[in-house]
Amino acid sequence: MLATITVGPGATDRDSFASAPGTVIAKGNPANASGALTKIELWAYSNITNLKAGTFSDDGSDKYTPRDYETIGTVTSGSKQTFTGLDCDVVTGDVIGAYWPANALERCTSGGAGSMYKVGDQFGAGQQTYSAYGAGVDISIYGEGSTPAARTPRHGFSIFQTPAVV
Amino acid sequence: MRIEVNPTGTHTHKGKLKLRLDVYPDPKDRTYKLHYVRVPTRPFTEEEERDPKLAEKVPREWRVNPCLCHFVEVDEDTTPAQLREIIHEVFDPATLDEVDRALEVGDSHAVAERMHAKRRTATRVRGASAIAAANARLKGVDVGDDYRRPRRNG
Repeated sequence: MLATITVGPGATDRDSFASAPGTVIAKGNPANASGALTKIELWAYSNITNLKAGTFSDDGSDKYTPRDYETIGTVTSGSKQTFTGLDCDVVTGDVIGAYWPANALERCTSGGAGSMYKVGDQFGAGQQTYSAYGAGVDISIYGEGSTPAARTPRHGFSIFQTPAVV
Repeated sequence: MRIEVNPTGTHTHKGKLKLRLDVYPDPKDRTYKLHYVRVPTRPFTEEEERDPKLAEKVPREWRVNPCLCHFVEVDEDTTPAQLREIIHEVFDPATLDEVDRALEVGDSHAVAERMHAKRRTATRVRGASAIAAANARLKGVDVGDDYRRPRRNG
């Protein structure tokens, strides 16, 4: 049976906005399982172009390593934007993040789990040290997916299973 | 619903070429009210980005946003006619109706599962110029006026 993977604080209309400092990682709601994200949601405060979104492994300090990402492109502001058809690798404990070069995502300035940032596009940069973007800051991003398909046996029998004698 | 290729999302991932299809609701669609929004008419200046109160003063306009942006894998030599077939196959009337119903109540989980079930696979990209070539060939493709959804019952 497939399990649902969730990662990220949620793509909602928040009370402030996060202008473009580079790559921003949302620490809230780390991935609860391993598999692939098939959907990412974003809520932009102003129209964003050339956004990339993906997953990062967290070594427990301020160092994060990009695991996988997909180019999203433009994100229009004013409503939650849902992106499906993705296949972004994620491992239990990973966090979600995005890079955008200009304009802003929705964010809250307090009450969140915190975010980290580093100037520039860090997807593909390997492990990097990030700076705190605000202790209570959440950006509006959320990912969802499923664990790999279990090896469902055909006709009720697994190739590794000896059928019971009846 | 109107479906358009959005060339800003064209990319390669895991060796496959992916195209972004933006789905725009029509006024008769359930999700129209969620995505007919009033937004700033221009990007913010640096000063406005730093000061939300200044940013609020930027003139606003009404616009329709996509209710869904879906990525499909396509072969790098896909023609506009083939892409239209792919769009009709992926966004058949029942799927569009389910997308509209689910997103109206915020059930994007159901939408993601539906669209995941509609996924298609393509051959691996051979050349580095696949993105630019695909955008040049396919960016004008849209499916709209000729697309008819089944009547709603109630």
